[in-house]
Amino acid sequence: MADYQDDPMNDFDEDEDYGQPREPQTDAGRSKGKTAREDDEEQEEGYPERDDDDEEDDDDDEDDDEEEEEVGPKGKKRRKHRHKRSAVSRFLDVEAEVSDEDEEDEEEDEDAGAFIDTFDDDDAAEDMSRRHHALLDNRRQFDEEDKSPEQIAKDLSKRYGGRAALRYTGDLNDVPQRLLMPSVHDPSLWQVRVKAGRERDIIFSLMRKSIDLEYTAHPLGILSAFQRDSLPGMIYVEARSSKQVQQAVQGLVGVYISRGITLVPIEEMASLLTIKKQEQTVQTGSWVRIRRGKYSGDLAQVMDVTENGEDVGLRFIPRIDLTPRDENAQDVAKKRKKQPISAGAPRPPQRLFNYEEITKVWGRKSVHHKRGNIYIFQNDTYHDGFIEKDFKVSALILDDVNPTLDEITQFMRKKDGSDTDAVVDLSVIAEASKKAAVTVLQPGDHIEVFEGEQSGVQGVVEEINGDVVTITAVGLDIEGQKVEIPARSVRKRFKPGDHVKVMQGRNIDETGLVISVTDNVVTFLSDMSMQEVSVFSKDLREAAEVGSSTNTVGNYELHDLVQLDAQTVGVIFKTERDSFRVLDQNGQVRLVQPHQISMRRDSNRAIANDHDGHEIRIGDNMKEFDGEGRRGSVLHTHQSFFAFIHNREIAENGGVFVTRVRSLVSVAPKGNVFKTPAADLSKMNPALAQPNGGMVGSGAMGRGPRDRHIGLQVTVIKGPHKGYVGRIKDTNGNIARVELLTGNKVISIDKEKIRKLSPDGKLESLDSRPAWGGPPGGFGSMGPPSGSRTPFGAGSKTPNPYAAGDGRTPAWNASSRTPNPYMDGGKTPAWNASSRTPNPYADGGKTPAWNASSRTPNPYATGANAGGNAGGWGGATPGRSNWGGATPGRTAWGADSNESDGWGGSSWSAPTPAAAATPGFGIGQTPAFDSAPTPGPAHTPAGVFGGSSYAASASTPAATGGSWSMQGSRPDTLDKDWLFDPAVMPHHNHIKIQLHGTKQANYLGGEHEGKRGRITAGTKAPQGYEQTATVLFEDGERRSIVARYIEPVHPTAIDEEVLIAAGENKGSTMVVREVDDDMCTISSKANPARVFSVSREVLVSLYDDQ
Amino acid sequence: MLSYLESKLYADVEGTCSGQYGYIIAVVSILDIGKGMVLSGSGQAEFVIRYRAIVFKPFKGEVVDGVVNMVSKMGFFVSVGPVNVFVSQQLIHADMKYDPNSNPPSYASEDQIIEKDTKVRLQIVGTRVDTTEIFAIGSIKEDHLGVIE
Repeated sequence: MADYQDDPMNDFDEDEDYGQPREPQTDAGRSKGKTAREDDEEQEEGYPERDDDDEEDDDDDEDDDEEEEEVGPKGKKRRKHRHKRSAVSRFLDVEAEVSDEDEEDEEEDEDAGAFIDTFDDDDAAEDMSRRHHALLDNRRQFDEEDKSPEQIAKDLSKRYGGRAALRYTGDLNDVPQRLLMPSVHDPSLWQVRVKAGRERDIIFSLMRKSIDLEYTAHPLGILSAFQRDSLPGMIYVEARSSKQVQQAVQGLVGVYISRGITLVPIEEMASLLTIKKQEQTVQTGSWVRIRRGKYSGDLAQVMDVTENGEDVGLRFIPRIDLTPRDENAQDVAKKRKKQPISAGAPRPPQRLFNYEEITKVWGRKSVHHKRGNIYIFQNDTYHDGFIEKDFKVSALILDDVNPTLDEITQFMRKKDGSDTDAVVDLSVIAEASKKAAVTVLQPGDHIEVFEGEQSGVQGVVEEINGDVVTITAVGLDIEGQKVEIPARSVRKRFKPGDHVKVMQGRNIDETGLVISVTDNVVTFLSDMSMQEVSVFSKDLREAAEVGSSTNTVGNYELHDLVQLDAQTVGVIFKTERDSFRVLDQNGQVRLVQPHQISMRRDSNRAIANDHDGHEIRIGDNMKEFDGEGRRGSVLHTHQSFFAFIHNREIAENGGVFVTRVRSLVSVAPKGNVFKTPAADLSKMNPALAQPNGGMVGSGAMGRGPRDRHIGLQVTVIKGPHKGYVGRIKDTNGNIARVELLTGNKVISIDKEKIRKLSPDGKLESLDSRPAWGGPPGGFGSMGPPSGSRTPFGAGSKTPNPYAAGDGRTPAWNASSRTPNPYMDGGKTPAWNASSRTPNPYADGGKTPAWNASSRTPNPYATGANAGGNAGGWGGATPGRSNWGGATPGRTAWGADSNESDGWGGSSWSAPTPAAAATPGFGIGQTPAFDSAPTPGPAHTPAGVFGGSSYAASASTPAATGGSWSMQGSRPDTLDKDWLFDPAVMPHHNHIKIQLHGTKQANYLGGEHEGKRGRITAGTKAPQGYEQTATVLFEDGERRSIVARYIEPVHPTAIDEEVLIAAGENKGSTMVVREVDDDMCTISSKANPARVFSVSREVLVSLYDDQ
Repeated sequence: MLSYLESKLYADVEGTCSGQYGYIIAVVSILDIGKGMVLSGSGQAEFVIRYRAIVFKPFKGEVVDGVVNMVSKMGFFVSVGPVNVFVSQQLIHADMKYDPNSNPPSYASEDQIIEKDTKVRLQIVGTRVDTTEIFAIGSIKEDHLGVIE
């Protein structure tokens, strides 16, 4: 009875493994088994003369076999003897002679000593036998000729019949399995359930039991029994019936007969016994990885393998906890075992065993010192710093071990940490990485054959087919030939100077120039770090590109502005494998790990002004004004003081350097600065920056797209947070994010639900314009001026306290957070002057009142002048942008008002004679008020105004308030781009224009100032380009003129034909019916009864040559 | 106009590096200035100029002379005109040892010493051509290479 195991290193010899155990121990089977073995022996002994006839003397052989057993040690003699015998027997084909032969053999056997002597007669004997044989042959031939074919067939079948099955047994080695498959005639195999883990013991018990009972009256009826490690809890017994099995296992502990004895189907029997050839044989010295436990994933070197191949002695770097918990340290060994390594706990780092360290921590007793460098600690053996331990093969990873160079060098290291002189045994690594090597080959790779017949051949991979690569050899003799080579025996070949890229591993994506190649380790100089890197050639490819894909580590990438600590920010100028090089604002370079970065800073909104006071934006090309004069594009600015600049051409710090913004000047020509009407003016003008007052420190003030509500102090008036006070951090549509003062919380809330909290504790609607936003008192104070408009408009006969007084009330200033030039400036000539239209108000400007106001030291006036020169007045500040005539906001505004309050259509344009005729009325529409951007219409019903209650309203402040808000919606200035308004463009040929402002700007030497003409061609150029139009002057000159100097000629006489260039009726031609200082009453030609009153400013005279 | 174009050419081209020709050291002569073509959409004009220039492109295997500008443990960097060449310590003959203690740091053998500003002759082993620069590694491990007086 045999014990079957998976492992090939079984104690039984292979023949038995495959054949005999399954041999039924019946007589037939027995003989079969014997024959098989015997034939083997014969083969082993190498009879040269052996032929098929051998098989005939089966019985003879069997006898022989017995003889052999007897002969035992006298191998030599037996050999000789057999030799002789077979020399004879090869000619034997008559059964009857066998016995003679046997007798002879026996005789010879008996006088073994005389053998040598008889040997001398061999020749004679052989001669004899030959003759004898010839005789026999002849005789048989005669016999057979006489016989009928039937007889021959009969004889043959008689002679060979019943032996067919045996014929093949001689070939057991060649076809062992197929013909030995069990059939229904063979005993069955029974599966018996047993206690898991005791299978092997039970098998041995069965064996002993079987031996014990073998010669008793009731021997066990079973033929064999085995268990498989792969099938726990089961044993298999070979027997004729289940009853015999039951008898056999009866009384054995751990056998669960009650769970049944199951018959194994015949077809499954073979597979049950098939021994899976173990593909990975663990070899001493090879590398493996540990699959589980504390050392999972660690590399280990195989030191020895047990006979059955199941246990493997490994050597690896221990992970000893040098900071054990206190109770642990006490009595280690006992507790240690019970303490499972908790999954969450970090495992101790790999570290070579160090006696001193260990005893310090764990106590001297815990370590037993054996001879040499061997220590026992916690039941583990440590030798030379390594732990040596047995592992089951199943607990190891044998595939894809891929030891890295680092790991292996650790193994090569002596305990004291010094490298051994012996270079890493590359062959070992190469071996380990061979399998992987196949996968990394690619067609086109240069390779070199390093083992086998073709060793030394170099070539280029043509194709890869499984494990075979076809290469085109490059070399002396076999140049150009295609050779097939197993993939494992080639390796990639690199030459010094090749530019390579690492495809995998720790240095992935590094590129560099190969410096040296030793076997399969390639050393190259990294392009990025200028460091030498050694990698396996299998991990390399030739590559043209320079490694750059590792620009991101963690969440940060190259050129990010990152916060390092509260005081320090820096720019990443280089990314390394897991760290950054950061240049901080002090110009110091730091090596920073991702976790040391507290956050990424967004400097998109940061504001900084350069040496000339121009705003620096990210991406601007700047140059150092002093110092080294370095130039580059701005990456980031920090605290309006530092600028991080990048220039590829600077080698130092990846081209990034830090400098002070004040020492920078723009590389771009100055003119460009003005082209972008983007608000530099406010910065250039300290006066404008001043009134910001409450917004100190808010750099974003005065920038375009920002919501003006941001930063407001508000109170929530509805919802769960009602009553809370906070500050608006951000807005999105009608949702505001409010940072509450209490609770340090940011909530998102509908703007409807919050009210602005003014310093005096009053609540106002968010939309109430700061400008007006003034408390109701503000309105009140507005009242009188409103009332006074009539006299003022009528020619400013009364000195008007309005401009001066109102503009300067503290209430006004306090409440206005946006500098609103219109409140003052709008009413001042300054404003009018700057606007390009020859303005009726210029006249008004001559009135003492206007002059007075224009002469007040008014910061806005200054601003206005500056802006006027720049030509970008309207757009200079957001405040102005929103309100100034030139911006879309303004346009929208006008449109809005028109629609919402039906301004032009119903109330205003309502041709009430009163409205049209009353100069006071018209004058009431001073541009100042108009341009005042009230969301007003919403405040008062249109009716208040439209209802011709003007006189009344003038006298009552309340009503005035109403009219005020109404007045905001008059479109009576022209757009900056009025000339290119689609409604105006068709009339280009007719409109009267004049040049204005060329003198100041010295445009064309100012010669054309005041010249009038018409446009012959003009197309709107894309944004950012100077608009030009071709003008045909009245004196016949035709030339291209920059559009901003072109101004319309406004009507001065009755019956003049005009074009309305703004407002609701934009684009229509009308006839002037009445001209006032700044208002015109017009009507269409077709319908003279329908009159409008519009600002003169929006009217453009036409040449009446149609 | 022509003089402007000339100076523009000098300014734009000299000292630049292209993958095809290497470094353009100096423009020797201008052969031909083509007719200008105004680019549509902008006011700029384009002129095709043919010129003759001295270029420098290092090739593998080329032997060049240069001046050492940095010495480190790994090797040293040599300026060969505009090209930076790195000579790895592995491509330095074995008997030249790095001496970090000397000032400036150097590679020294019995009869030679390589430190900053030493003139060396080296062979270029490999090049890397970027868009704006060429980098090369060199060797002084062969005969007749090394320090030149």
